[in-house]
Amino acid sequence: MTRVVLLGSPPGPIGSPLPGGQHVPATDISLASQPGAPTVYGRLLEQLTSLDPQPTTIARPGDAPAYRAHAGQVVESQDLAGDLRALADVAEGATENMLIMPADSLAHDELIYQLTKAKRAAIALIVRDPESAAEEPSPGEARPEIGGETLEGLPMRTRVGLGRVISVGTAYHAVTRPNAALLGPLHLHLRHTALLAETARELADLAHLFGPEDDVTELLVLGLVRKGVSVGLYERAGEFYARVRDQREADEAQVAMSGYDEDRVRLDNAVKGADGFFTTFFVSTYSRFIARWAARRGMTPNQVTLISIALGLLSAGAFATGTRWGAVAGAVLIYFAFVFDCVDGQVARYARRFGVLGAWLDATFDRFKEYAVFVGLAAGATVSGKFGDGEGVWTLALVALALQSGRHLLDFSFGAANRRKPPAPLPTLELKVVDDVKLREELERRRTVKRGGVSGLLKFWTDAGRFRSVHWARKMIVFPIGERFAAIAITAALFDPRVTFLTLLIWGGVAAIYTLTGRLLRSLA
Amino acid sequence: MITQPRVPAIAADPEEEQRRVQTERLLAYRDDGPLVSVLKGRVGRGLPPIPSLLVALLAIVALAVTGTLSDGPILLAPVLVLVVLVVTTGSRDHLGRFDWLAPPLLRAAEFVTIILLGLAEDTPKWLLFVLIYIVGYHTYDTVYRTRQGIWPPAWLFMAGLGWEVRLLILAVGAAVGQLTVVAAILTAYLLVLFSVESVLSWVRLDKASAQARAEQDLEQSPEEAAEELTGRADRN
Repeated sequence: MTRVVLLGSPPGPIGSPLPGGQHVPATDISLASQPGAPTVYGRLLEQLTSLDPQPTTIARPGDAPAYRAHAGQVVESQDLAGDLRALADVAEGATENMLIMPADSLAHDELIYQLTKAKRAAIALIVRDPESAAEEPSPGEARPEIGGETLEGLPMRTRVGLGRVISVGTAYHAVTRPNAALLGPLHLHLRHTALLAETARELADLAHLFGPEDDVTELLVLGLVRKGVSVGLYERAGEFYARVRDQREADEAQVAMSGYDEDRVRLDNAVKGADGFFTTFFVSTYSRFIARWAARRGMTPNQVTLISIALGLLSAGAFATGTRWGAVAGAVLIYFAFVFDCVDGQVARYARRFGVLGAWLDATFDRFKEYAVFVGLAAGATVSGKFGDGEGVWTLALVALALQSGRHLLDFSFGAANRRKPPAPLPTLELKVVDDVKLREELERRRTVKRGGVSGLLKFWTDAGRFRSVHWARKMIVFPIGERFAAIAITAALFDPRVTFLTLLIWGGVAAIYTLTGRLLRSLA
Repeated sequence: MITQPRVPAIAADPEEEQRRVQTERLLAYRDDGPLVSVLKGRVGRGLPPIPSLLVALLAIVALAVTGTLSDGPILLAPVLVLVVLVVTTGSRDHLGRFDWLAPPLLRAAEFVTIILLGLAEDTPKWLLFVLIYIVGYHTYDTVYRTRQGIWPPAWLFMAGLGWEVRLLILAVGAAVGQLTVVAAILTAYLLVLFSVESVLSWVRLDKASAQARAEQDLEQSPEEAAEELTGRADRN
């Protein structure tokens, strides 16, 4: 469960007032083309009800009666300072994660889902300045500024880096090289809610400094960032999100939204990122459609896992025949065993059906399938009689098993040890300080310190990932599961089991040395 | 056969708590058995894990390449070297910067020794394959469980005999020329123990907590996790 807070009073525009004059509360804007023709607010409550059936809405006294007609609590607030204090009250009592959303949000379910299930402890929805995408660090010192530009009607006063918000500006706070705008939604892990409450109160005391265009979440993110919280970024990946302040904007947004395929986005989001080369280009290109097909037929992820296990066992059996056709059939079967292995996770994410047993089944039987195929290959070598009594090939299988288990344990152990290191704390800055120069100087200083010796080498290697060829080569060299299954399939179909095991041993050995070197260096750094 | 989440007695500082839990995981991955736990606290501080393991591995490899591992009591040598050098390292805190190497090196030493003994005694390789698979299965299972925040019960590590008692049993079997029989009995025992306990525990856990941390990917490597979090590849 999540504690949901809706912000009923949107910020004013920068400079000239809205063309239509005063803003219209989200309860009075209707969405005629949506099923049931709800209001913007009604639709949002409906979407959020599974997270929090009793959300808190912070509204101006004039709008409060309209909000009260709906479910949830309504807190009245006169002004921006009141909004911040009301929010602090909710955050103080929070015993769950918090989701803060503008009440005038028109969003896809998938966007809300992605925000709430993100692994970051704090994550904000942003939109980047499309022109700053190819930005090169310009020579000369950039000065902090209070920009007047807007993105989607919101001030572009935020500087974002690769993975987090670096600095936020307001009508009072200047920011160096702003390149994004905060759209409003903000999700916070429980462990940050106390800090949020404290920050919101401090900000409330400074409220006289801010302008009418300053949004509550913009201020909150400013406070969190200046207190050293790493606020992650969520950018729309095909999900729809817009803030609608009057009926005209709502009508336009509905037209725009009808051009989006939410189901497709949900399906695309179900495909795991950060996969290897083979998985990305030879499986993930189409596996999602099998996943959707399976999900629509009501198949559970565990049933898909069982199909994959069955295919893996059939493959091992085919290899065990020791014939050429058996090897070819085994290669095809192991490929599809791997495809269905990817599909089960995608079905789980697409259908949002997760289970402890499913995660275990998937992980355990991945190993089982792989090692069962080793057995099949070694048995096939014995049966074929081409390798004497087959004990030589069995020994190779044995070493391949030991190597692969050892490599996995290397991953697991390094991961556990790595998590012991607390992340380096981010620099902090008083809320009252006008510009972010000190913050950036501190970040720059750390970067310079890191440049020498082993850290410099590691950073160079990390940065080399910009090049696609280096990126994929690095992914292939570690011999991930997709590459392993592909290597088994190809070598077994074309050559013989001995070649397969030698390939696994050589490639696996290179991978072990490569990862070990990197991790030893990182332990030194 | 109950797996319980380990609840700390007092809610400590989160960073301290994180360090404690992760270190405990590292120690669990070592898969120490009864001998290590008996000696714990009775042999002083114990030897440093990484140097001891490296020396032991070198010694085992040297024994193998010099062809010393032929037949008879000499087959006790690799296991004795490993046990003598490494059994006391289980008492160490494993907080050193390279101590994450201990579990993989230890498992590597165990597997290499099993393979060398099997080669010396002409034990059927498929039997050794199953033995290594089931020992590896137990390690994977420990990893997956601790990733879900639940821990295999302490008795399982004792009943699983740990790397040291397993190897001692195999070494004695090899020394008296009965490795095949001994390995077969050990494999059958571990197969039943680890698989039955594991399946029962997971089914029970699944019923108890429909959610837990089911969404997480149990197999993810540390670099993949970082990449997913920041959207930026940082592999080595």
